[in-house]
Amino acid sequence: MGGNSLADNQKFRSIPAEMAFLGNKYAIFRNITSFILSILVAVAVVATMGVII
Amino acid sequence: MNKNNHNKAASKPSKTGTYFLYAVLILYLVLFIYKAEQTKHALLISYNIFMQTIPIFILVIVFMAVIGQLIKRKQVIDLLGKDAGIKGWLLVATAGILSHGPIYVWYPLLQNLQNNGMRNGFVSLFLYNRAVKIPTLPMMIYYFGIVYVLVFTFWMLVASIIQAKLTDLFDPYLE
Repeated sequence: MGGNSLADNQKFRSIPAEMAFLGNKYAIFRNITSFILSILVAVAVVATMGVII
Repeated sequence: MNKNNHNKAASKPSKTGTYFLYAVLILYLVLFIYKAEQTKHALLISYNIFMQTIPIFILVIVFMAVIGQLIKRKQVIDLLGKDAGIKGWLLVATAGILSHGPIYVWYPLLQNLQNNGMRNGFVSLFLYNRAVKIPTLPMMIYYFGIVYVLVFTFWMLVASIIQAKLTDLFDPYLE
């Protein structure tokens, strides 16, 4: 469920537009870090819920 | 980030885009001959998406006009630049959460702010926080419970700050 964080901020179809406006390296960097962070968010959410519940 | 790349994207119309447009038009035409009903349905969906994005386009154009005419570059640098304080972080994170519509509509505004001195970490902060959507929170609470939504939103905000810091850290290599 924590993987929802990937849903909006890392849509592959918008990468070409992001590259055009914000730069190629920036867009690639941001999308890779978003992908990694979405996994970390999922892990953190599950771990936190495990502690709370 | 490459400023030349920005200028190129803003001023020079891409021929690839024109070719792509023609290719899509030809594709629609061919499909219309063979599958008229389905093509009409697809066109209707595209029309609806286009109509939904119009208010966002207007909002972004107004924002860009305001930034261009009323806000000076120094003000942008003070509020959103390298030495921006907590006010800048809160402003960008809130703007990211409140922003609606397709993500690509917001790219020109971010580019505009970036060219006026906005730090790149804040661009990432804005884009990451778009994943926190207030309109969907009630539905999320209904399905997953308030505790889960609070925990999830908290970690999303933490992740957005981490990404902003990472972007600033690696910024010299992103040019």
